[in-house]
Amino acid sequence: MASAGSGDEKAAAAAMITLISSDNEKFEVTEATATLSQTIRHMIEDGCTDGGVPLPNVTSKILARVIEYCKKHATAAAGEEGSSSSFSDAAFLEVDRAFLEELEEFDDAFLEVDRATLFDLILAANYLDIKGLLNLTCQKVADSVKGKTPEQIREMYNIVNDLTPEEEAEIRRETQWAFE
Amino acid sequence: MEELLFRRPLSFLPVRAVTPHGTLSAVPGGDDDGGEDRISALPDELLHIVVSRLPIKDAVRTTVLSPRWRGIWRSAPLVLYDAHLLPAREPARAAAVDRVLAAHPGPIRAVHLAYCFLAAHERELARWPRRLAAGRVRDLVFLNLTAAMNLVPLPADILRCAELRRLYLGFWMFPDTGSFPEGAGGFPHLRELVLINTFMEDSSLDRVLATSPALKTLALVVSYGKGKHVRLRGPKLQCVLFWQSEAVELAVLDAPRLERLIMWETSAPSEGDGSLMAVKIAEGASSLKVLGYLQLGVHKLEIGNTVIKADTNVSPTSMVPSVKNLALMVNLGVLEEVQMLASFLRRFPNIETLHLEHVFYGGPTGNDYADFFMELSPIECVQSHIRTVILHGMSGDLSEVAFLMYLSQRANELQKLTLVVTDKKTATVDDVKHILQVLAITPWASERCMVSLVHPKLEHDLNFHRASNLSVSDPFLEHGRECFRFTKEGYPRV
Repeated sequence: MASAGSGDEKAAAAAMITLISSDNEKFEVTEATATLSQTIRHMIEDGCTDGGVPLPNVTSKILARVIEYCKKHATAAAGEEGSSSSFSDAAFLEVDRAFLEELEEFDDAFLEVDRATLFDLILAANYLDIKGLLNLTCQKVADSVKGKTPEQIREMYNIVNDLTPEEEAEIRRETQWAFE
Repeated sequence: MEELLFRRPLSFLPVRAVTPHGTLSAVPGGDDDGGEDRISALPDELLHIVVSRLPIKDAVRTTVLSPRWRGIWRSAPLVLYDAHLLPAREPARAAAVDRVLAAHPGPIRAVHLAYCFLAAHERELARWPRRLAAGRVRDLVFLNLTAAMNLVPLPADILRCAELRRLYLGFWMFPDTGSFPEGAGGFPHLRELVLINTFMEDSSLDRVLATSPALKTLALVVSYGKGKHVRLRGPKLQCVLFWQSEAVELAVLDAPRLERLIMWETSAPSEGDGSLMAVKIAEGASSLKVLGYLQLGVHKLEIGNTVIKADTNVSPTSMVPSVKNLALMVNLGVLEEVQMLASFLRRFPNIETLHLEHVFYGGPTGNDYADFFMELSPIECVQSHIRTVILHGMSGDLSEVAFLMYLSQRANELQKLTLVVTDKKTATVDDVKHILQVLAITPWASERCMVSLVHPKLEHDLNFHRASNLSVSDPFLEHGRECFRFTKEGYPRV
């Protein structure tokens, strides 16, 4: 991948990468989809993707979801690059807005998963270094916490409160304004 | 009440990255995790991401969840929007800000203070900027909302915040260069600077620009003062907004990447000597694509070393060939302005989009200059490049008909002519339709041009956020819905 002539780039765009999940399932994806993951991008740049990329931390169930996300967002990224000035502004903005709305709807629907899957996605996004997916999944967790009391959050996420009553009282005193 | 009084300055602030309510749909349900605490098992850096996406009270409250969570908020980058402290009233808001800044060791990602009456908190005002600088704040909004007329000095320690990427200041007296703190080396990473109703000596602005080499966007909003010379210099400067502001001179001196210079409701200082506000474009502004509103009768234009007058000869040194989108305000019923309009258009040979707002000062003059237009020698942009013209404030006046007649007969490349009917009730849609019927009788230079008659927007106001958004290629006045359209080719099937 050292030389980057336009011919090479075209070839690269069509090149397929094989990803291998922890339970040994193989997924064929385009390089454009795979390189949304910085981790995989670096592996491709280092030329160590022949024979597939083993991802021992990601199950096939989660990897399938991650690939679904990357496919959608890779198309989005390609759309942005390709359409810079050929449209008239008004038309471009229309297309742009519609596309962004569609992407938001996709993201929202994508996150309709159970909590265990959500945390698996967070860890996979972190391991694969997919910034958009990491932000999205962490946003989902943050949104679920907003406006909740500590008791409600503990219950929702099975957090065991092993602070002593004295410790808890002390922290609450220090941060009393945040509870008002 | 507070909200109402200060709605205008607050409208210039950036969108907050954290909202008090979720942006995504409801929480994942189902007790599918077998009672396991998955969230606390996340590594610190991921919990930091979560916590820094929470409104400040929610973020602080996580410290009480369990021992695992006790230190998470303090070690996550601080994000504090004082808007999220509402409905707490002053001085409780400021007290909360004070506690947060005292308790959090940094780094500080974002602090937006727009709802504290900072001037009323003298001690905090001395303390906070030092904390912000020590916490290496990257994104700072520091608005001193006050109903008082007298501006308070900006704490000079703000100038020590060397890690800033974005800085919004409002309602301050900016320090003069003699009061810059020692060792303040400017803002080497600053990309966006917005000054709202902030009094600043010319030399202070010069100094800030000279020491902010990464600056891309500069906006001066409600900026005024005596002897105001705004000298634009910056290797990365792309977008400058001069908004509801006064200056003797607004000069693009050394800004090779400047793409956009937007002026909205600007003029020479009201207590000045009566001369026009100078808009100077030095040679080398080769990236300038979007320029306006230049207001004839309010601004004088200087290009290179040439002051553009009605009869100034066209020469390569008095032209700005890079400009593609120009916005002008002109009274078409005043000969001097019509002459200047022609002279201005000659300076911008490559304009593709022309926004023209017809403004009357004190009512229509009753004059029109059809003969002047008919006798004009060819103007390059009209002849060869203008594809889109938007005429705002169309009142059905004969002076407009004269201009439109000229345009229809000379603009060979014209594809779209949009006529925005005035909101002043002096013209009806039928009046303008009638004018179009008259115009349609004679041949057009571009018979395929589509003419669109539209209503104005309810508020005659340029949108600050669109104007500063470089991905919006036409930031000038928008219009309302279309009520009528026709093409000459298709006429009279309308």
